[in-house]
Amino acid sequence: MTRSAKHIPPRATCPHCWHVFPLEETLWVSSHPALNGDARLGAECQRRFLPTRFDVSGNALDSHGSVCSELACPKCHLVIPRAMFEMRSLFYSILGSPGSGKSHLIATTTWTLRKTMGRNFHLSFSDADPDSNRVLNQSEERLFFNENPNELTTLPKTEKEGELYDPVRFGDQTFWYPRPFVFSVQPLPSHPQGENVAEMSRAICLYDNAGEHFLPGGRSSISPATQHLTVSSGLIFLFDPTQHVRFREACKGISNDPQITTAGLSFRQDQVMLEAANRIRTQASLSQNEKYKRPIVVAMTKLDAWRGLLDASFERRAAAFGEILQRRKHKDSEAIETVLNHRRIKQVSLDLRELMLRYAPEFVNAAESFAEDVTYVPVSALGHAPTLEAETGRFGVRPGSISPQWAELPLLYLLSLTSGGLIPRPIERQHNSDEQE
Amino acid sequence: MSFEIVYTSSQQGLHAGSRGFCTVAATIGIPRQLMERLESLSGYQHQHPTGSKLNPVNFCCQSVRIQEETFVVLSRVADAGADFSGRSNKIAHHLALSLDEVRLTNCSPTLLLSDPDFWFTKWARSPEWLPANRLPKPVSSGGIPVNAWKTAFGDAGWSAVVARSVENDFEPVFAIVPDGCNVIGMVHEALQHLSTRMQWRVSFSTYFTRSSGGDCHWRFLRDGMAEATAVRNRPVGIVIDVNSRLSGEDQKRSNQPSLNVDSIDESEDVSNEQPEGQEGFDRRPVTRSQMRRREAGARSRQARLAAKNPRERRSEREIPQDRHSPIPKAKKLKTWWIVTGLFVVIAVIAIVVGLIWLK
Repeated sequence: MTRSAKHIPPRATCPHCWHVFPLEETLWVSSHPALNGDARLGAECQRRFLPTRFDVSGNALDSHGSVCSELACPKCHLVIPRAMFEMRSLFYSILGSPGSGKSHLIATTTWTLRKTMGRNFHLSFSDADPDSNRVLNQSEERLFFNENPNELTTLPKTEKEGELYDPVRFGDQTFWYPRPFVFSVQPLPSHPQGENVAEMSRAICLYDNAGEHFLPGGRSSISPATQHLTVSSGLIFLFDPTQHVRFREACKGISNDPQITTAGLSFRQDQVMLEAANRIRTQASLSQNEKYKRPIVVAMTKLDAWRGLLDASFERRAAAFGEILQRRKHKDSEAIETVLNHRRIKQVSLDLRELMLRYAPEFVNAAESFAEDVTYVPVSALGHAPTLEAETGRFGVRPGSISPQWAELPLLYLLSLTSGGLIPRPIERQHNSDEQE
Repeated sequence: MSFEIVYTSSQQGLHAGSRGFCTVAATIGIPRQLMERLESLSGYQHQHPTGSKLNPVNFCCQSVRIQEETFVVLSRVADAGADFSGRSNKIAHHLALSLDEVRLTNCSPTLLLSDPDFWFTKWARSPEWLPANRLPKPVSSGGIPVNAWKTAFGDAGWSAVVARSVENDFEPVFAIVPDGCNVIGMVHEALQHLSTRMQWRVSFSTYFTRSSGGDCHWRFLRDGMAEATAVRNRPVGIVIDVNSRLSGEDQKRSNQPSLNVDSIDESEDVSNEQPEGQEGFDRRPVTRSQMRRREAGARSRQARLAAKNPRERRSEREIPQDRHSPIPKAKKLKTWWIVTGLFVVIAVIAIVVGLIWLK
């Protein structure tokens, strides 16, 4: 551990099985090739062990004297990125019906944050464990680093089993734990809190579940894939208007998106919300009368397909509250900090809520009967409609045409609410004196 | 009794409300736990864009244990073009055979897996319950070509090397194969060296990825995929690598005789058959095997050394499952005080009674 001990949290949470354990119980992953085979993970994995010997750098030595560097959970034995021991962890769950665009939104969000967090918020945003984030990085490469930007590409449909899950054996039973995407967010020296790097840094965990996991009846006893809902600091629910019958009907004639013009798929997304609420209530022991205290951002996806439903005054009303990112002087220093314009977000949310009440009141009812703080945000991960390939019948996107709109906003908004100052929250009374970007 | 499920992405699943990736067909009366377990074995990683014929089929045979009962599961998992939502799809068809049924079978699992009329390759129907005891018909042995190893690796003798792993306590085999080769044929050839009973004890996967979800003895990996790279970087068990194969001319030059398939099933040791000329080829799998044996020797030496140092042994020891739910220290201390206190009280009472009795 390289940081000063006082900033290291005394307990860690496994991002795979969400087991909370004191640091002294952490297992190490042996590195000597002869120490193959682990009781939980199988013959081809390196053995996990509780160390008794360390080198001068504090790394454990396995029984063959090899220096080890990887750490693992004492319960599931899966590798935990070191960032999760050295920084406070924040979990965010992303949920929605199948085909609502979760994988695209996560890839676009992380790619956008990699590019803009340094410039806008003086924060570094990087992979805490590139191996764990491999699938996500592949998605980013397909969309944003594609060598053939004018050829159609597609992200594979997220599976309920397979590459995004790790099998762990407990006796005869095998459980499948979802693989998290872990990022470390640290303030740069130019950040107003740049001196408190150890205290302010956060490890962020995101999960890309298959939408099928959130459907009623989709819970599996051997795949606790949605248990992260309980430990999450905030939820991002993807509401896809192109999957809603009345939204689709209203958009016909004003949108050329093939998801609207062709016989698309419809889901009862309020049922997905109610199922998630039910699981959270059960796992977190919330009574039926109690409301969920953490924020929920309802990201209304595929904005480009239904933008025509927003009247002209929508943009005007939102613009009256200034830019989405605003700069101001830090209250305790001369440093300039960037804040998210919460008033504008709230205004947009109010307008979208009106729209939702018109077309999908059952969803508003489901969300607001469960949570205290629900914010509606329009997003478009791709910025344009996908193309339907006539030969194969699959949807594809041209990487060269991707221009995301507000895709990163749901996560930024949750970070500003829950990260304890990494992205400063605006002080409402100072709004008029804010220096606009 | 055998059970089967068909798992793919569909507008409507067998269970009410299910859609997307879900079970669309299953045998009537299948236990819920078995169905969940079979669903978890349905992972598939597209190597090429969905719909491409180049995407490999994963034929798999493995055993699963549900409570007290063991099943041998035969699976066919493959690409299935685009689904109803215009995204990538797959179809997994699993057949779980009870051990009694396996005992009655007198053919290789590969012959059952090759029945084209049994295994679903597409599902465009409504969900349905399948009748019980539907079983594939074994294709005749002539239906599977027998030159798969020779075509892919230039030497049919590798099938015997793979088969020999069974005798060596089911040592894992990782075969890195090129695109488009007949892997089910390779498995079939290797199984021919074993008795029918042993053939059913071997688990295999013809297109093994991290997604596959099983634990197999024989794993066939596609060259160029991350799993193949991982095995090359950290070889475990027997590794047969297409990049390390020798062409027929190379073999002549190196004076290496081709392994005789027919003689492999005799009591000769495969490792002894490797000619000395082969030692010059560092990347040959058998050399890795030799390295592994040397490593095993080193391991036993290490174990002898470790025996002298118990601390070192302790760190390697398997951690018991209940290790992290011990009685808290404070509770232990409290128990100690209570026991000691009781002991002192009893001793005092005994002394007092003794003194009274003496008076």
